[in-house]
Amino acid sequence: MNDNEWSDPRIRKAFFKAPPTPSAFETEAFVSRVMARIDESRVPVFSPFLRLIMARWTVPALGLGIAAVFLSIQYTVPAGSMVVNASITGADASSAWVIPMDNEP
Amino acid sequence: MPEESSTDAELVGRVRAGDDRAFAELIRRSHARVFSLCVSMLGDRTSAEDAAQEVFLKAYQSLNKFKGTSAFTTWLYRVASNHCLDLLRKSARRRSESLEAVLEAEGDRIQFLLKAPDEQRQAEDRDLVERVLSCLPPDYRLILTLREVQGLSYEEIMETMDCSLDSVKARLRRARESLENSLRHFSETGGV
Repeated sequence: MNDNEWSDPRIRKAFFKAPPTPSAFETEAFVSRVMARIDESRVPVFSPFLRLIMARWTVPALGLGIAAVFLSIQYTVPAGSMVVNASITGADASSAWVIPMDNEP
Repeated sequence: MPEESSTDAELVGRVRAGDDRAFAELIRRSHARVFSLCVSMLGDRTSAEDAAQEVFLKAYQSLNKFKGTSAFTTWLYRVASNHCLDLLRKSARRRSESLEAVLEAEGDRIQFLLKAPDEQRQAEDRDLVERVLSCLPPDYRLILTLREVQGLSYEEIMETMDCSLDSVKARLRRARESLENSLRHFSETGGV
């Protein structure tokens, strides 16, 4: 048998028929699906930062963080205002850091 | 430059530079051939659609491995062939039906399939054809598909399968002989 021939050509005709060619519409739909998958597959490349932003707990965690910073600022007495207070009361500036006791003798 | 008038090599260069529209054009140009190969290898359009998507995704992700020594379509064919071979090998492990069993059970239908002219063949023959072809070793099915369905030349098959010309001829001959020997009984009774 020649390597380019079948001994029974009907086998070739029966078993190796080309499938129908996809239409232009099917091809465009296919292109869209593949490009969408490429876009999806690209996300993990930048994932460490993006995943952090997109996580469900990010907004509550950020809110909690901002609240904590705001509260810590509100309850911190600025050093400058302590010096001013000390000069008004006539005390040594360094003593302003010492919390006076109510029942001090 | 519009995508339609660019060569495949130019489009590949643009994809590498980050232009995804160029890759969309490459898909548009080669979809029919890749899909046809997948349908011929896997036997049904749904599996072929999934496989073709995977092929293009793999091609996009490994485009930096494409050296440009062969045509882009040949390289894409190699990606598609390897992907379909992997799928066929996995399904061959699960398959319990042998070619002899199919031929014994469906002898009359196979005889009719070989005897009847193209226009008389029924849609259900596709199922029978698929059952017979799925019993072939995946390597045989690939080389027969590339040659008989896709119409590739020996040189193109050589590049796609990454082997020598002699190897292509020898594999093709063995694949044909394997199928013909199995169907010999039907061929002879068919009066050839």
